[in-house]
Amino acid sequence: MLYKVKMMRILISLPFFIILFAGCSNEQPLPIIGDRIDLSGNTVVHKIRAFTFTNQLNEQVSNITYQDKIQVVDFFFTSCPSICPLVTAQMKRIYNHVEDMGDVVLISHTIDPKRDSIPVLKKYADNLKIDHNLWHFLRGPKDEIMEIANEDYFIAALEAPDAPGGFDHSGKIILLDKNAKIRGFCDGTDPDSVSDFMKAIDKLRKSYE
Amino acid sequence: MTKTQYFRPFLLLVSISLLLVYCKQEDKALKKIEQRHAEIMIIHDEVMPKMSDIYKLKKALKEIEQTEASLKLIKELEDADEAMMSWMHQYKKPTPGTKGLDNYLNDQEVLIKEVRSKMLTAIEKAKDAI
Repeated sequence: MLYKVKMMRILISLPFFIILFAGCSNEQPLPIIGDRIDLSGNTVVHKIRAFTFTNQLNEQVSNITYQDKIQVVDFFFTSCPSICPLVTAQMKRIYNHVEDMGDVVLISHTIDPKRDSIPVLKKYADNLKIDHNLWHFLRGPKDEIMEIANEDYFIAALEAPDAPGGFDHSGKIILLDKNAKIRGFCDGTDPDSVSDFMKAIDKLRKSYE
Repeated sequence: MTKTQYFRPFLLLVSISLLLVYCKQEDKALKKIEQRHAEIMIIHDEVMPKMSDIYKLKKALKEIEQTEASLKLIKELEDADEAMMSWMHQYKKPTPGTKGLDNYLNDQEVLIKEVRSKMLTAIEKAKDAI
């Protein structure tokens, strides 16, 4: 009799455990941001356009350079007096989190190529004491950078119009998957938002296992 | 009690008083810099978001038929953008004891107000043309 009661208890509790474990293992994947449906009902896949810029080591890099890498991207300039230093500090936190992972790179696009020359970017990177191969500071034609920021990374859409930084150095940090699709973003001036972002990086990496 | 022994506490008291006065003055100078810096940054923060308007208007102007007038407006927008970037590059928040501190901050306030005016004028003119 006692055995039957025990068995019944186990059988009754089993579905709860199944649901519980299913809930744990079937976590919602990160959303894909930017894809849209056109007038014919077809999905238009949104990706970051092809580019060729120069990094702080004076090397030419393109989107091919970051193929099969998870990318963490922001827009900044070295003489920014307001929010960029805060965002760079949070990017450094992310760098510390991912530096041993091997499949994550950080990319900071300067929106002031006129003043942010390659030596200036190199010095800025040196001061951060980072591995230059893991965190690239990129310089390219201003119009092209603005176009990419606005049209591809949706920086304007992500930002409140009256944010003090202005859209082009809004403080947003963006997460791209290994296919250069936008999978998340955070407010780079808010440490809590960045902590959630780092969890999103972990989750994205796990999805490739 | 020798004369030296008599003067020792007095000297100590004077030294501490002088130190306190110095610290208070430093504190006051620092507060003044912070306040003036904040006033300047308020003007910067007021117009910096309009850099996105400059980008959008420039793009819109490039999409319409290029005339001498539209090219001039694009140039004005670019100059306004450059004025802001250039101001940010040269502005350095001063530290207490910097020579000519008041003059520097006053000059910077004038400069950022000129940038604001340049940006707002270029934006308004471009908006009217589109």
